[in-house]
Amino acid sequence: MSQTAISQSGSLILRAKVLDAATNKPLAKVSCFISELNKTEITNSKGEFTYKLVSGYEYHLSLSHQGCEAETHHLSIFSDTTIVFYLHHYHKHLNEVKIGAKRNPIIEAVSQGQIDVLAKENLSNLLEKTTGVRTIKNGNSIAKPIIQGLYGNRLTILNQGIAQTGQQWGNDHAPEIDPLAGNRIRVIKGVSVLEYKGVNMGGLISIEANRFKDDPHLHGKLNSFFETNGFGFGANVQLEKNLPNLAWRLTGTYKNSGDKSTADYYLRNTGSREMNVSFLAEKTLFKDWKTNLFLSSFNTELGVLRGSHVSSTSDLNEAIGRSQPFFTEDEYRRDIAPPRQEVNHHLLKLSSNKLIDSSNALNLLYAGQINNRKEYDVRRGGRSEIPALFIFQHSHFLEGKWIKTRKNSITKSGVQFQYTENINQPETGITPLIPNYSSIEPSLFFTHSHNYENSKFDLGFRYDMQAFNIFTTTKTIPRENIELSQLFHNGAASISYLYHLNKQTDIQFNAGFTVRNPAINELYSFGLHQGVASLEEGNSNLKSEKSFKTSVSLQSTWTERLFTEAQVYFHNMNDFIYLKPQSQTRLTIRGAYPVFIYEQTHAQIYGFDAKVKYKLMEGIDLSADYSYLKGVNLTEDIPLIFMPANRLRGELEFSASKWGKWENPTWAISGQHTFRQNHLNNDQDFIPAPDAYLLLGSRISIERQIKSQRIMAYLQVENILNTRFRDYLNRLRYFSDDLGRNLSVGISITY
Amino acid sequence: MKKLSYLILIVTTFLIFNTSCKKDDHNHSDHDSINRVIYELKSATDTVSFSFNDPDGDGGTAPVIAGGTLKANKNYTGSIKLFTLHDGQYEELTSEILAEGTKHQFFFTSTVAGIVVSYDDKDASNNPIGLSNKVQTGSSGSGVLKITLKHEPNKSAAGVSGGDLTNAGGETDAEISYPITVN
Repeated sequence: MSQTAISQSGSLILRAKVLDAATNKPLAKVSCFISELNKTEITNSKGEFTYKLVSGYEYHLSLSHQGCEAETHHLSIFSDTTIVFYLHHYHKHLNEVKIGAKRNPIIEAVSQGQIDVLAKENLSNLLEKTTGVRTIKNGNSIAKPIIQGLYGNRLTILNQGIAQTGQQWGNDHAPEIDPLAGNRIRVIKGVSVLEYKGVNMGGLISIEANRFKDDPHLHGKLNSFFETNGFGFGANVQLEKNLPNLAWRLTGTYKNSGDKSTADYYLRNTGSREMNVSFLAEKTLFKDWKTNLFLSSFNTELGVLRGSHVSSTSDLNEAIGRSQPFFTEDEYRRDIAPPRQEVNHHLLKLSSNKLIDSSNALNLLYAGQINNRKEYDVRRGGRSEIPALFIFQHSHFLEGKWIKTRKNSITKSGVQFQYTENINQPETGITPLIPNYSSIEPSLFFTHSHNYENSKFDLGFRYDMQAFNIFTTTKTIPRENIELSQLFHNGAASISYLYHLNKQTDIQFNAGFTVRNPAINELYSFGLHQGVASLEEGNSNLKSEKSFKTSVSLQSTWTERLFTEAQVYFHNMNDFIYLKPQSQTRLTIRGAYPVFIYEQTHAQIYGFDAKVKYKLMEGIDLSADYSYLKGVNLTEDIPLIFMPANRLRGELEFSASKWGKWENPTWAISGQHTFRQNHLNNDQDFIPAPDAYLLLGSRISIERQIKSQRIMAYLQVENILNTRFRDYLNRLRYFSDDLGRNLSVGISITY
Repeated sequence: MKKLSYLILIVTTFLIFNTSCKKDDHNHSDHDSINRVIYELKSATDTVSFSFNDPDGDGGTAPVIAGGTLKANKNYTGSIKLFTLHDGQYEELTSEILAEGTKHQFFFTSTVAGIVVSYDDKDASNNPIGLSNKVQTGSSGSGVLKITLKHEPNKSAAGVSGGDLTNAGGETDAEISYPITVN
């Protein structure tokens, strides 16, 4: 938005022009609504409209256009004014893939509009809508993202810029983040990942909040939904105010769902509850120190399919291959019983920015996190209400960052320090899988980005040290307490080069080297992993994992109607840490168990993601993407397990700018074909990989401006054909089918 | 300065709240683990005792399982006792299983031909538990007698109260194969 004052008078004229932010071309048929006047103007073919306003009054102007996200601006003008608005018209068509010179390396995102429509989903399931992101699940409510075959300890998630700490070591532990507390989710790959704590081999996922609107009034948003599968419902409220000396935003989310169902039966004990609250405030303290406070609390209770709770290999063998899981009930139930999880995660972030001069800025940050994880099993002697696993973790992070901006370059360097303490609460009465430990991690990083006329060059380094102090007991009796310490040094370096081949096409090369030290579970876990009926043993002799990754991507905007993007990647990992099944079994009170020990191998993961968007004609958009991936354990010459199967997706979207008083009516139909994971040997799993499956979906959405409120309503159907299917990355595939048809409705009101 | 002290207060409160938790004493003992199982079989003339011992629980040193010899074509009365090791002492769990009788059931299978095991006790719903049982031997042979203790089986599913494990569901609390000889 840029303003030019023209003259001084009492009643005045607002002349506005709306341009496409990407192409700089005027946008016609944009509805421009001023709630104070309750009047709508439509832009002409030159993208222009005019209003008569009163000097000094405050106005709220909403702009909406087919294929764009509606935006509201706060105006207070004292003279005839011409304003130019840039609408991010093209972005939605490109799924927020940024194009042009200012683009960061390979960024994909889930936008506010998509988050609104997918409010019922958890973070991982929401991200799965993005090309190249998949999820590892233990039922629908427990899901972890996977990018280019990397997940868990190899993939960091940032919540408002802070690397999420917590019990991320288990595949049945979902990230404790409310996506509705953010406004946008990005997948960051390339050099800029080196600025963040954690091991970012595959890239990182970042949940971010919008900057405050330049508007001193109270504004907000209400988003609510209902879905038929599980009879789930929920609501999210956001309130914000940007006063001259203090800006604040408050968000709250509540979700509640009962037993989900497959095409044929209810999945007993798969309900969930979630209640989150977050608060963001920005204030200028002292001189020039812009200070931000962010508080968030995430609280959830999740049920785990009752029929998937097995405690021996005989149980597993009996449960596999049944037409319905054990404990399936004929009636829908809402209650949650053991096995279940209760997780709380709290974050406090305090950051301060100071502009030293026009090209230097300093940023100081503290972040504290508390993670409380309780897992309840079905236990004897009335102990089901005592958690079988109860871990309390707290971590503290300090960062000092210096950002230097020159005409064509940005240099960032920083120092970080993190302290983590992990404590098993003794009341469980069960030997913990993970020992108590504390860890100290100092780090340094440096990144530099330089823009040339037709290209952009990025370079970065990072160093991390991790010192573990581990408190555990001997494995033989009498049990004795032992204290161990281990020290690791990690380095990472990365370069990226972006080149504008021509007006239409960008090509980008990325290469990076990362050292990752073994995580606590890989070093010291010891005990039964009942979820998979196996004994899991850490290996304290593990060395750091060294990986080299490279990727090439090509993005082309052929015409205003055709856009393509493709990325080819290759990861080579020496000393890749994985759970190796051992040839011997171990006898316990529950019979013989297969034993898995963390070992190292030489592994490679390679693949490509491709995407095409095509505007058939005005109002009809077609998009498709395809992901291919292969993982190999070279030392043993066998496939890597838990790698996503290839997937092809397509969507056809019909939209118009107006339908009576309604705006942006949109109807989309989509199909998703997931291929069978054929790259797997028969002896690598208890059962063969599930068959390929096709899911169809459809969505209708519509918007309307009523006075100062903007209303968006949608109706969505997933798995229209009620297809029976099982997914390779969902652990419940051993026991049950995946979710059947789901119809959801929702409404969001912005005011 | 007032603002600064306020900031420091917020951060230190958070730090204190976080670090004020007790350090664990590490003396974990598994209340849930079954470390010893004794299966005693009595006939009119002799008494045989099978045992399972695993003081260090899952992992570590392997359990020691001792079976025994039964006489051919005899009737035995069986009783099963379970123990957990708590602070160096064996505590009997049998009454815990009995008290939750409706949630537990033993199942018996043998690779030795002619062995028939039947239930000799009932839970509150008149379904078998199996802590008390009867064993009838047939002709000579050797193999294993496997006992399985299920937690929360579906006792009303087809065949379950008759001792068939197929439709039982639930979790296995114990599964022991005793080597036996019948002659």
